[in-house]
Amino acid sequence: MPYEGKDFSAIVQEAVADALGIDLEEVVPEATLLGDLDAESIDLLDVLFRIERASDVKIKVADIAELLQGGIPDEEFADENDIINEVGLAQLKRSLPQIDVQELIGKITADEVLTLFTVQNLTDLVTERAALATAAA
Amino acid sequence: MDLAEVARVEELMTAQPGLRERVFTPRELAYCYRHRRAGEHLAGRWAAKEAVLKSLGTGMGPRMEWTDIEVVNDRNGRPRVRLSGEVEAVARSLGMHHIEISLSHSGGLAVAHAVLVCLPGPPDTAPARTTHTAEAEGDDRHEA
Repeated sequence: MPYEGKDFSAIVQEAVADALGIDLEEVVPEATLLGDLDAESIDLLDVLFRIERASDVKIKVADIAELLQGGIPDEEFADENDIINEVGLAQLKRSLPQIDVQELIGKITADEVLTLFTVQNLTDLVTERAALATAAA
Repeated sequence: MDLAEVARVEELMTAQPGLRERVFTPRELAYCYRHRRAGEHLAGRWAAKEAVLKSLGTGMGPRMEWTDIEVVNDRNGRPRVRLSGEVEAVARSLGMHHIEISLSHSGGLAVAHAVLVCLPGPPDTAPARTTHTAEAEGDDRHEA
């Protein structure tokens, strides 16, 4: 399915709503998947697979992790207690523009990072991947 | 600790053709579908994969695949974990010697318990053990 400026927000919204069994109206762009929408990891798997079937854009949970960490090695991303450091927070801000870095300093651990991921973040990722796939074709 | 519903896992793997092959290895699927309550075994193995990832402290990280973690049963029916790919690479970078795992079902839950056993340090220290538990809803039986 070609990119051609396609709006993937509806596909993402529907995939999230169907996977979680919630109303479309609840799936707002700023809602965090694992937090606000109470999705579990199995639900995220379902969401991503539904998006793939609807759009031919394949995204794995590992891809989201890669987006969030931006290729930064674990030991440079967080401290010895797994608390995200300044380097990590700067990377998170690049991939999750909605976050308030000041609020997160010294508070968020590496395995909590995924809880910041919103519906809009997912839409942006799908859109980016679709554009890359089209450009590569 | 992570919760996963047996019914949810079973429904998802049935409703989404192709998804289960991305999560479970052929050997895992063959084992689960040899049993009458395949959904319980699938949920148990799902919980096991989550528990292993949490024992590494990474969750699902970059370049990892669900099939990098395979739950197999030895001749006595005892579950063991076999790692491959990026999950294995990360585990070994943490000094992993092996991962101990147990699966059980009780009170409507399937519970997976993973213990990351690392290589021993100096002679007078015990091996480091990191324990993470994941839970999944299932049935009241023990999976040896």
